[in-house]
Amino acid sequence: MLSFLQVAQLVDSAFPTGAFSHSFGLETYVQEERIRTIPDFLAWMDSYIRGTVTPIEGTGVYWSAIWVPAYLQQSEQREQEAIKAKLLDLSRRMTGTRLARESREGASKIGKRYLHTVQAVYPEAQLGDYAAWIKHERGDANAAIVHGWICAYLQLTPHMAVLSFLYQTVNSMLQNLIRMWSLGQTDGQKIMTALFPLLEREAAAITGEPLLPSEMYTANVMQEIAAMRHESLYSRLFMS
Amino acid sequence: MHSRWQGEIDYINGKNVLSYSAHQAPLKITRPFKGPSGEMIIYLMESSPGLFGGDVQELDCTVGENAHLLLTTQSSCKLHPGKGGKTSGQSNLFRVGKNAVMEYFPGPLVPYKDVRYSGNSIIHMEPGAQLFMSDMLTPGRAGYGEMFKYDRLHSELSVYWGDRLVVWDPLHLEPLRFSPQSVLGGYSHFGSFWCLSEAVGAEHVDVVRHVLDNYLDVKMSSGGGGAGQGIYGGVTLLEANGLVVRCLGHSGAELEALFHVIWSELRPLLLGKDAFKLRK
Repeated sequence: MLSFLQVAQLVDSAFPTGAFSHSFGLETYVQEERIRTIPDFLAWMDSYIRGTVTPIEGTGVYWSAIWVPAYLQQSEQREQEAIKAKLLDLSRRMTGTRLARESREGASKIGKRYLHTVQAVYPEAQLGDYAAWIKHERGDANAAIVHGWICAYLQLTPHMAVLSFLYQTVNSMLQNLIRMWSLGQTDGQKIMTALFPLLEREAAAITGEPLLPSEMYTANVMQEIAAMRHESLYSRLFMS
Repeated sequence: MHSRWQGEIDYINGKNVLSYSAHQAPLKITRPFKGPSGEMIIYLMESSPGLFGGDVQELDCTVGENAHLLLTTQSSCKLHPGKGGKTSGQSNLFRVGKNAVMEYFPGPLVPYKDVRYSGNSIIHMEPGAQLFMSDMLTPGRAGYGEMFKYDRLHSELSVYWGDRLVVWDPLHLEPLRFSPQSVLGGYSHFGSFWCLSEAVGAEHVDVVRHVLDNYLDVKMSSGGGGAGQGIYGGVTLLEANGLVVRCLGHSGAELEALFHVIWSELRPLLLGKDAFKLRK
């Protein structure tokens, strides 16, 4: 059960990524009183996961987890170059879809921190290569790519890579809600449990019928505008 | 049907000149004319009643160094369904050269029942280039009770500065899978206003935010977000060289009026030219 412990570590809320400073527009919904009840939050999360996380980051984790094993198996240089180009294209697309400045900068900070921590914990996972590429390309570290990469290194299935990423995403958003509403942790865990079927369904969809990177999309206009509006909120707990 | 307009505007001897133009019916253009501050204005015209399933409309436009083009349409773009659920599409390729300006204000999309549509715009910007562009989506033929009856709309925008992809905005709307209530927050109309320029900074975002504040529909409890009127909008700096304004509202005319105000504020600041009323 070595892999269980490693997954538990990656999704642990104590694993330093800085995700807890970012609400990606959720704080705007709460302040503008668009989310007032737990069902409101569940509906928001359903849209967030299905309309943004699944078709963008979740898909990004999937492709990273699919491509990286061949890279790590010391394939030919030409093949490695091809994988590098595909990962960088994927990374650029994911950044390009984040129009709201604070969300884009937040995702970039989280990606950088996650890369840094995972590199420190698993120095032999060759994530230094990824760090060097993005430095050279003036690109952003992307948490989805890092997660897919480290899961591939740990020989987890793409499905497990995606599912654990979805859990990590929902968990940090839920912790944000708990702080905004001073909810109890027990209530928080009840909300998390209510979201399990959604996460299972979406992980199955991502791995069952994966979108190509060029087919990724977003379907969350209102949430995106709320993330833009966060820049001018009167009082803010979060950086996005 | 595959319709197409390909054109190039160059700045020659102090004038904007349409140096190349080729079209394939039913798409054509009006005779270009000079706007109040010397820009070339071209209206796209369509002799068909809109796009049917399977139709593709293509624009390929180059604005050369120092030239200035304003491209617009005469009316909304009606999207009709086709046999066998075929997708209709629009594809735009714009190249804005050094210190050139392009302004593109197409009419709103009106997707009829069962429509499948795919739009793809690619914009290449060179140093000093500037672009203003708006787009708007209606819920359908509201007068016939056709609200969000379309099958799916996919619209993709890519902005390149040099060879760097700075914006990739692949939007997907599919009412049966993603409820309009959550995607569009209970509003019926959706539009974006893009301002791409190396000169755009935080001060321009502040100018737009100030405009938006006057239209606001902020708190659910104050009657917005569905039943009320007003506009819900946001503005933000892009990763590089530009800003985007994204708005939801209950009427196309309201959004159009708002975008005109934003254009009127930004145009003098960035181009040193006043906005004016476009006749449609």
